[in-house]
Amino acid sequence: MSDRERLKLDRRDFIKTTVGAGLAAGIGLGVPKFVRAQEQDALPLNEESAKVVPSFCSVCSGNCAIEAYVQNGRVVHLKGNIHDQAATGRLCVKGYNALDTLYDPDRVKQPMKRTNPNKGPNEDPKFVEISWEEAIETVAEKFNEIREEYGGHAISFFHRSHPFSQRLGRAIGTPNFIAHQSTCFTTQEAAWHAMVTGSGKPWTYDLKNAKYILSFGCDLLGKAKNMHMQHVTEALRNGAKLVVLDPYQSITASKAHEWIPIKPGTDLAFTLAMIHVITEEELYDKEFVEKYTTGIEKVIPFARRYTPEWAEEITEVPADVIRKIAREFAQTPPAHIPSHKRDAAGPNYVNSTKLAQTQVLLNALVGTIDRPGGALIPRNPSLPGFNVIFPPPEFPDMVTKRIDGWDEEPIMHTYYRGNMATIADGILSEKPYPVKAALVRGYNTLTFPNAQRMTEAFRKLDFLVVCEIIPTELVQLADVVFPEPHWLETSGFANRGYNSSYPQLALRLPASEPLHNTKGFGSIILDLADKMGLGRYFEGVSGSKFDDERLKAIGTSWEEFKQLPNGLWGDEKALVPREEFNTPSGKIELYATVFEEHGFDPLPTWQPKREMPSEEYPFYFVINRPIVHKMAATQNNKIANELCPENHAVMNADKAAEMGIKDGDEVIVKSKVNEVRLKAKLIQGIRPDTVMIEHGFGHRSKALSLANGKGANDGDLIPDFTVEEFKKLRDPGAGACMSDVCLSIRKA
Amino acid sequence: MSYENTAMLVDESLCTGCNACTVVCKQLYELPYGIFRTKINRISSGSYPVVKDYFDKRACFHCTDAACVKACPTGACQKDENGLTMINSSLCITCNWCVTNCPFDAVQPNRTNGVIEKCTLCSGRIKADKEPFCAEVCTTRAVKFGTRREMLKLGRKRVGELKDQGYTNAYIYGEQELNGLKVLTVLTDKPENYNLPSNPKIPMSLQVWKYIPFKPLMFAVGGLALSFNAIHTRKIKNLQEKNKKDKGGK
Repeated sequence: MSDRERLKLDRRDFIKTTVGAGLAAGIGLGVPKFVRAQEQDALPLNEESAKVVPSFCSVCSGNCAIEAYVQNGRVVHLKGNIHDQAATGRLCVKGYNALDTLYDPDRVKQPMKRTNPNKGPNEDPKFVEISWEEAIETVAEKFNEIREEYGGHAISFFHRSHPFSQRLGRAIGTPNFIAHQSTCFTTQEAAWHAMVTGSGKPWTYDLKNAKYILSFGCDLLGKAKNMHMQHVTEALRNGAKLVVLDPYQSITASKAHEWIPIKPGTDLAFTLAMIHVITEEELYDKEFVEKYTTGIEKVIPFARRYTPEWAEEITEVPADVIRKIAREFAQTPPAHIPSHKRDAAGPNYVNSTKLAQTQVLLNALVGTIDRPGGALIPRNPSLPGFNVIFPPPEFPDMVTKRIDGWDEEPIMHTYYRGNMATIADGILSEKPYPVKAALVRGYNTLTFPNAQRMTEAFRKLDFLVVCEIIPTELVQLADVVFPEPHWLETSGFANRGYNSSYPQLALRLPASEPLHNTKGFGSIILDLADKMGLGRYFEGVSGSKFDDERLKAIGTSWEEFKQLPNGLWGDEKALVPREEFNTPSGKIELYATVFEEHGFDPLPTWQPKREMPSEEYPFYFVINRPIVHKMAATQNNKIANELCPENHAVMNADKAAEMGIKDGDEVIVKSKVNEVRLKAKLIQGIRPDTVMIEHGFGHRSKALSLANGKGANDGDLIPDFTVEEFKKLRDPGAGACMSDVCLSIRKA
Repeated sequence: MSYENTAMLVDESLCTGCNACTVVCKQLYELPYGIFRTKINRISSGSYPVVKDYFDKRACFHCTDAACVKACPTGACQKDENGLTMINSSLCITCNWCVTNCPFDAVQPNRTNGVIEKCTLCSGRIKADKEPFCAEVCTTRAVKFGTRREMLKLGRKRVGELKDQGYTNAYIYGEQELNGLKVLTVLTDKPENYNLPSNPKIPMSLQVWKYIPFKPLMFAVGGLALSFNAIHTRKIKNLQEKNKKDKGGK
């Protein structure tokens, strides 16, 4: 087409539009007003005619109760249940956005088996769809083969605790149940276990009643847990002071009255100096400490050496600031230091368990453990366990030594946990024995430290089964894929995960018809056990009976429960503060005798982080989670992807300018284990010696059409360990040192 | 709730930029990729280590003196009987004049559906005695909806508290601006920090434009003139080409 012709066409278009506009406007004048407004008043949701189905959210473990609105068979909207103490009528952005996972066109829709024997990130698995029967039979046969040849322990399970699967594992004879918690919260758990609860960390906070909230990298607002956001903003509304220590200005830090960009991994020095000031100046809550704690007489002389001046050298926070914050913390009751999973007291640094210890100690010194304004030990209804309801027949003897070394963790081995930091080496080095097969549910390769090595480990297995909802990177390595239903397609009930100040259970009924040919994990396990010839361990067991029996123990039943008018069980009760705690002395043990008994430090003696900046790797490494995403699970969701499609190497703008790096430049970020390629994002709200990378990106599964190829995985940079190396860390909390690594950065 | 004297109050001091409002709005109004009726921007200012971040929930403010209404050549963008700014897409010719003239960048062309998108404050819901979705779903309750009197009272109280906490520039945006905005915003700092004009004005050109009488008629006449011009030009051009061809033939 010649230029002139194009011009002519354009002109014609223009004329058409102009004339059309004139006519349209002319007509417009004649239209009565009420017609004009109508279209804009359209209601996209008709709450009166829509079907409302009770459910609870499973994006995180908070389990917020939901009202799902269904119109023409489609779930169109999720609302927080107003009667739920956790949700109070709201959800978080990730909860609202859960619909995008349910309706993700990329979902795993049908059982599949691999036909391409070559496995690798760039290999097309050439999946073919198979029936459930064939899928279960294939896995049962293969598992039995491996069991006969190498023993049951050559089969490993990777998932969060699930009673059915754990029993199957016990029947098969494997101790290898690998879970993620050493990358998530075991450090905090160990401290609380030893000092307060004897049974893990309580995740419930009554922060709305706090007057002073002190956070060590704990991004309660930016991680967007529904109840955390509500509590902290309520506290702010009520005039509470919020102080955040974080090398990166997180969203919580941006809302804080004070943001202190502390040097990464030195938070322990800060808290030790706080203990020094509070004990030295006798600012602690004497009544609480005397009545409910033991060990203060050992803490006082212990803290003497940790002066604010000493801490200033380590943390780069001026001594008078430390002093001021210690005094404010002690003198603004109720004051509390919250901590939730991967923050500074999470398994980020080799000293994180000690930091968690000091946090428990400080919270005890100001009397906010199981008291208003502080952490609450959850008031969950007590439900009988699986083995009580379905007593198991005798199990065969089995190997107890685990491939990830978890059985040798002095304290943490009693918990259903696992070590994702050592498992890759365990599989690759075949120590103490070879593992040949794995069944993985809900974990992806991106989840592991040194993700690339973990990919190698999964490739090495003879047989990999993956239960998933979306086609992750790990699905691409699988031999057999079991598609699971989305939680909006299922039923069940749950505790109030992160906000349980009185016993309350939420009901879940299917909000959506099953969209694909899926099967729940419990049923998969029962079928598998049956086909493997292990049905005798599951006589009379079914998911519905399990639910029903548990509910009967609290005086109701599934039939009755299903009819609950609000979708919630349990009346509000006033909080009765605990007088006793589950430690050897029955008190909060500031001096942790449980640690001492296992040969660990009963008091949190200063210990620096493991890796320090060097000439080769001059930058500290921190991570953050984009507020719209849940870990590595939502990058393929339409709206979440639109709002936050990729991650960056976030650095200090002035520092970057010195290095000749401009905003948006491609950079290579390198640690001692790997390097990744990212776009640089330059901001002022980060220390010049620190690089922050948002977590959850770097998907390389071609089946994730929106997420594939965007950003890079921070996990690639995190070192993994051999079991021997890990033991040498001597960490009672078995933290995987997720941020204890240094980086170099250069223009690509 | 009487619809007439309603207002929304957005408390930026409690907004965390989570975009829960954005997500629900997009889901329910089925907005395509790139189109938002509301969205939160995180804006940063200052230099390390004194850095302030601001969260700006941007959506139509439903200005009393609305530039978009003045700009609209077809009458598609109008104030409804209760003071909400509404666009009737059956009249809208997507000329984008409202988009370019909005002092808040709160109007957006939606090319997928061939309409202009902006927040309607969920007018249908308000009429049915319900809050707009963003107020109903806001996790931190930073977005509230009620009578203008209530909202102003709440906003003033909050501004007082913020001032006491050291936010000396705390301010209710929209109480006076453009003769009052239907969406009031509690700011912790000067409007400029939120990319909001501190004294928004309707462009002079629009003020003049507004007083041109019989706009549709003018358009129609203009259109006719242009068509005539086009036909005429084509005729002349054909003639010229014919002449050229004839010459070449010889």
